[in-house]
Amino acid sequence: MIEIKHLYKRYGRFLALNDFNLKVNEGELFGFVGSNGAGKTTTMRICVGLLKADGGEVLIDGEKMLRNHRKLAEKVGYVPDYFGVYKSLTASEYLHFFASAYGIYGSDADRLTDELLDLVNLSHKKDTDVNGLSRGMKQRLCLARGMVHNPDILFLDEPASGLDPKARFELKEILKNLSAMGKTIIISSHILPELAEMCTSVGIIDKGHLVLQGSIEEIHRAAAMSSPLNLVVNEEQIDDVFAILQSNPFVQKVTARGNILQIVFTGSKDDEGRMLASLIRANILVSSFYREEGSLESLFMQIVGNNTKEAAKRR
Amino acid sequence: MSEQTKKLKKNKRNAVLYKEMTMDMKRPKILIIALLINLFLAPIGICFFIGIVIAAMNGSCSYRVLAWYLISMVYVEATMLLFITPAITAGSVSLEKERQTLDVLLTTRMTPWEIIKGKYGSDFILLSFMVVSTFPLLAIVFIYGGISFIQLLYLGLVLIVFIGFISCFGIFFSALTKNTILSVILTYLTLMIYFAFTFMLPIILLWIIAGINSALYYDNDLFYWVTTQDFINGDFLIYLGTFNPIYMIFDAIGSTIGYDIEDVSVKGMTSVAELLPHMTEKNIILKLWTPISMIEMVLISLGMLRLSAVFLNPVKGKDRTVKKRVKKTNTPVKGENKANTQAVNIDNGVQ
Repeated sequence: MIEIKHLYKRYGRFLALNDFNLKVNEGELFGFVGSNGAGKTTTMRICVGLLKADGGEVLIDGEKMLRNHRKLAEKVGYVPDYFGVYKSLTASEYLHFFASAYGIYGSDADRLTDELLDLVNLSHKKDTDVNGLSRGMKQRLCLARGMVHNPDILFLDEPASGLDPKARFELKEILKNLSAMGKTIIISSHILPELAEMCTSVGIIDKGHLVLQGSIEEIHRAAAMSSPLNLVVNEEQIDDVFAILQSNPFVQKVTARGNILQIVFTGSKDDEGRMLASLIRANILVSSFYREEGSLESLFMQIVGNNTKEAAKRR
Repeated sequence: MSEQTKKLKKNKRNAVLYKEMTMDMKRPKILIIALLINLFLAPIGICFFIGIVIAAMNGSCSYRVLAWYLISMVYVEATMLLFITPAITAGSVSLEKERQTLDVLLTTRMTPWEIIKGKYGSDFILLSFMVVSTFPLLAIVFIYGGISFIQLLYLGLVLIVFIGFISCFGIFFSALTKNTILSVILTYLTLMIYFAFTFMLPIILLWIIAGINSALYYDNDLFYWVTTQDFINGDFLIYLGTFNPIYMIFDAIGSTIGYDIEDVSVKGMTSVAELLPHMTEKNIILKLWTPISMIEMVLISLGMLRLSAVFLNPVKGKDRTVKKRVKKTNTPVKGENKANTQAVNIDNGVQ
């Protein structure tokens, strides 16, 4: 289990992580979403011991990462957002090298290399120079490298970035297999729908702060709730409707197009019901009341957008 | 994955060293550099050889000619190594940074010290191979004798310590900087300053003391160098020269082959005792100048490598208490607002 408590990190005047808290349970395939510069890579680098936080701590299975870095390095695998490959080595030599970095040699290393290449569907490229591999293949090789010591936890920093659809699909399948093997996987991306397809839970980071976390079902529910409510009423009662809606604390914005009102509503399903009941009690003739189908993108944009507006207001 | 791999064994060999050697063997670099060094040294050898053959035919060949051949070869080789070594070592770690492979290495079980050892080891083996590859050219002296095989090996050992010492500067700046070009420049610059400083420092200090002595006792000859035993004793300052590789090579050659020019014979640093009134040729430090110098250089090398490992450690420094740091960092910088949003565990909608 990974627990991140009150993490702070500053680069000069830029606050990259600001009281960041996160908990990822064992066996989860956790999607870590945020726009560029939100703090995803910084968090990951601190988690794998490549960066020192200014404050806070990272606990892996209850042990502090910073104090037990060498010991925990064996539990954690990291695939950064760049390849980091030695071009003059073959795929097999490359994995052998990293196997030996974990004290695995000889026939054990041979067997492990074969297994890993098979896992990432690169067995046929075993003796090919890394330089001769495609982008997708390199990414899969890097994933194999991250798995060389059979870690319990895998940190993948934007692994699908720059890959074509076929390579993305292959990567997703591999990650699903790894997840089925019981690995805890934390995968970052700036595209929420991409992660929603394979993750069991998702966290959204913005300006170094975790703004939303939940299971993928909850995220989908939230996405559905993120689109505006549509209300069709009698045109003559529009003013009365406006008056009722204004008094509702969950109504953020109302726009009218003829007799159709679009309501940005932040309450729950029950709150929606209560609002509808109040309209009916006031004898408003409601001919239609529905929510447009929400998307994960709209949810992400709503969260990130809200934060940006709030920050702007404070300034 | 097999369960066997889960029980990790302790690292038996240095993975970086092994990988570097594998990569070096694949590239023609190692052979090209060895070839260039030998191509540069070979004409000197051929010239001496022809000269000796002609002199021998005239019946006037002295074995001292071959001694001077060896002396010049060692100096030329040392000069070449002085320029080649930084070029090879100064990119060692910085290239890993540029290739972005260092981060991945640092997340493995390998410690920064193991990475530095691997990098240094591979460069050292490569450069030692260069030195060994020139041995056949140096061995020409065996045609006429006058020098033993052990003495030749001793000179080889001195050259190996010499490259080992210079390599450390390259590795150090390579670990310190992110850019190979900057690392190369800093390495050459620092080496130049180090060589000049440690070479000149004892001379300048002895000169100053000689000047003071002259001012006190010889009013008419302010810059008189040789003083008598009654004067201020600053002779021990010559020991500072043990830190200089040029003095080390000078002494190593002097104590094995000797610099004989007609009637004058210079036997390394012990001959310097003639210029120092408080010292004799029996001075143990002057006698053991080269071994002492070699030990000092090995120790400096180890220190620099250790320091390089510290620079390479991404989480160096103590783990400070969480609360203290949080309090400090929590204060927003002027013009920057602390985010006041809270993470929402969603079960009833977006916040």
